[in-house]
Amino acid sequence: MERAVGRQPRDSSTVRVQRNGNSKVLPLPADVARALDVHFGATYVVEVSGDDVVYHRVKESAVAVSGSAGARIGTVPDTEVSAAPQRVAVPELTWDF
Amino acid sequence: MVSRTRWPPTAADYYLACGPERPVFQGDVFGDVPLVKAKSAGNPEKPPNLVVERRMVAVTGYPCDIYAEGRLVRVQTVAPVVPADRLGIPIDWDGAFTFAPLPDLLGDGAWNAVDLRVAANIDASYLRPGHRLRSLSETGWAAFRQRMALCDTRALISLTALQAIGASAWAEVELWQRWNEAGRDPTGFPAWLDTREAALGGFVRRQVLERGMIEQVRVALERDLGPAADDA
Repeated sequence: MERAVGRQPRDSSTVRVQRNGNSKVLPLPADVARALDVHFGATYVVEVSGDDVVYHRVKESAVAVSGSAGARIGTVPDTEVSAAPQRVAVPELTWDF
Repeated sequence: MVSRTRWPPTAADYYLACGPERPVFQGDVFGDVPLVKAKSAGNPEKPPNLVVERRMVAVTGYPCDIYAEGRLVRVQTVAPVVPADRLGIPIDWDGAFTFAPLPDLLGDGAWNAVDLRVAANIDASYLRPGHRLRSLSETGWAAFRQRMALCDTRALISLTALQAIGASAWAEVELWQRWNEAGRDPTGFPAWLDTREAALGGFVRRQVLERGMIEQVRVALERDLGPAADDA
């Protein structure tokens, strides 16, 4: 797996891939780039799966952090939070914990 | 960056290789810590039966709250570590949100988990450096906080958000560890960090750190530690 960073293609059929600070240009068909909305500045995780290269778009955090030291807090946008219903039976808490 | 393509994380992802110079941090696991259980004697008017067990525990207090002026505060909050096989944690961790999984905690392949329903107070003196079994990696710390939020609220906060919120605290403990490795008095680091730095535009170093400029603060720290400090 590589951490891939989409950059402004020199033409519409290339994407620059960065790994451990080194980068190289890989071809990406223009129609694929359009279909997947690959655009300048977007960040992806690239996963090799058999003969396929799978691009996972990395969502940039929109967290707002304010304050300093012990009073530092983060405000998490709705998009970063979801409800997680308990889906498995959890053993009752007893003094045998 | 938090990897989303290898989940759940392995021990290599989840823990940090570190020595005693690493300051105690949220999620650290210690062994041989006395947990006190106050069981009812059957009559609420009478004193409870106290049971003391030496256990593995995880520190649950937030880093800013477990220190005062560079020293661990006397009373710490911990939760017990229990074998995961009896807790029903799904293999993909999607459920059993009252527990914080600890993959391969002891290096024997077995899973353990922190029971976050339990909050126990202990004396900080029991958090002995030689009894620290694990420290969490940055990914592990984000996952640990994610479980803490799930336990108490059932709100699933993204690891990316938690990592962003904790970034400056994580950077601070890294620099504090470096300070300790150079043989400095650990209690001196917070004061150093809260000092204005001419080479950083006159800003307080902590403010610079909190603006994400850890490398600039690291350079200032290495300058102040000096070559001789490495030999101390």
